[in-house]
Amino acid sequence: MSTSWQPSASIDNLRVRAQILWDIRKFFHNRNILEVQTPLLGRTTVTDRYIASYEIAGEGYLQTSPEYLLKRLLAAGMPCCYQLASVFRHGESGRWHNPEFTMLEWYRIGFSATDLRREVSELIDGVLGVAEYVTWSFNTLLKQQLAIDFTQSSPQQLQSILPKLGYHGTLAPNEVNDFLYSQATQHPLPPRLFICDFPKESAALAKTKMVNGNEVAERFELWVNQLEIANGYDELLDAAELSQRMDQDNQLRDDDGLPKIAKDTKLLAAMEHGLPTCSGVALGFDRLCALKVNANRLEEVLSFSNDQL
Amino acid sequence: MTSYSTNEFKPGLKVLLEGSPCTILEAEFVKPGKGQAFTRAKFRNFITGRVWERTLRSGETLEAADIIEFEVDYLYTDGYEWHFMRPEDTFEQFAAKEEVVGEAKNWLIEQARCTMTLWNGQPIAVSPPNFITVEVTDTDPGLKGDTVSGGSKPAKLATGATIRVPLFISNGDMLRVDTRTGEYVGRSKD
Repeated sequence: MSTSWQPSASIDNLRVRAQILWDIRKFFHNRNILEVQTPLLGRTTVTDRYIASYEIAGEGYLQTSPEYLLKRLLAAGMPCCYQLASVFRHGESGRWHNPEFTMLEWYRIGFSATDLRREVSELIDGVLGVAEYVTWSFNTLLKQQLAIDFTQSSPQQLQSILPKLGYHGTLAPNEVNDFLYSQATQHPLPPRLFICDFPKESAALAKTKMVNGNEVAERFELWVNQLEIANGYDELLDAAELSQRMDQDNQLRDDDGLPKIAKDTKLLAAMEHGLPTCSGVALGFDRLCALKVNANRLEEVLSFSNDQL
Repeated sequence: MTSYSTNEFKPGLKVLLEGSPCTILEAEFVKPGKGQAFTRAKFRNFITGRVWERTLRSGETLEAADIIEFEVDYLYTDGYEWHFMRPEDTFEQFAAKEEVVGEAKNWLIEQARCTMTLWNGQPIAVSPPNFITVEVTDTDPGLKGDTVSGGSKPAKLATGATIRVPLFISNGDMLRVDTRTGEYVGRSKD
């Protein structure tokens, strides 16, 4: 008899998952952070070159993150809040990816990125147990893992080391950064590692700042046991700057023959009205569960993975 | 020409990588930091047997390699080429040169059931059966009854290969040999 109707995760793992959902809601309740629910089907979507949204003809897009709608809430006076819900990313399928996954995203008014990193580590400690956190800049990561001096290397020098790292071909400068990042994080990392001060090209919705004469993004990522688990920003407040970045995204899309995405004018209007100074972070809830049960693949904690539907 | 996009990569897929026919051993989708996604894959080159690690941009494609593998029986060698025949169905014959037969030539005995790999219709690799039964043609006289001392000596086999065997083995004995390691497994009862 066929067993293809069976769930992807074991019932034991789904028990653990239920417990973590409960623990996280307690964590936020104890800190007076409100749970909100924004629509998963939105009218617009992100312009990111490397994020593909599912389009629903005549309606809009399945959201790839609740960020835009949560920011409209914050601009309207919503206090610190979180959303724990599904998000959708087309074409992201693999050992640690599923096109629909559960994202925990929260915003802290008045927090710097450093403050928020501390809170993220407290949440992780609560689920996985207390451990030490190491913080490296993007430059330190590349120096430690690949012996590359990123800020001192010309684009040509970076391009010339690609074959040695397993890439035979040419990459656009922004893709070189992404490639180096993916290679650097492949080698053993400190078990709990924050990476911060990303190149300004990967600022997305983060502010930028100057460090030793280089403009870097006020963005961080958390890696736990070699898995990328969270991505946070000291949030960009400047609507004009965001509008410009969206144009740049669309230019990249156009160059690669991808459809342009209409700019979310309501988000821009909300930011013009005024977003409070805040930091926000998105955390992969499924991966957190996977770490808790020492899973080898994401599907071990998904009730039904995309392949098992 | 058929080609495969990185999102179709899976173990066993046969593709052309930098001009060489390869099989995919594993493929992992990686996309840290909301940036360009990559597929990190391991390939085994059919010709050299070497494993290559490569990273490709997500969405890149590789041409399919026209690779067929099937069973053949070894017939004979004329010292220049090794001749095989596809059993049943077709009885088609294939001749493979030394560089194609490679190490396998040490283990080829008549009628041995081998696996042949063709690329664009041409033989590129031959693998012998994992175990063969072969006669000893030249070794020092056997020490009868010495089945416990654990010593070993060289013995030349009918296929031309020389392997280490226990001291009690004599000329004319039929041995079972593991062709993957070139190790003596035991005396054949047949």
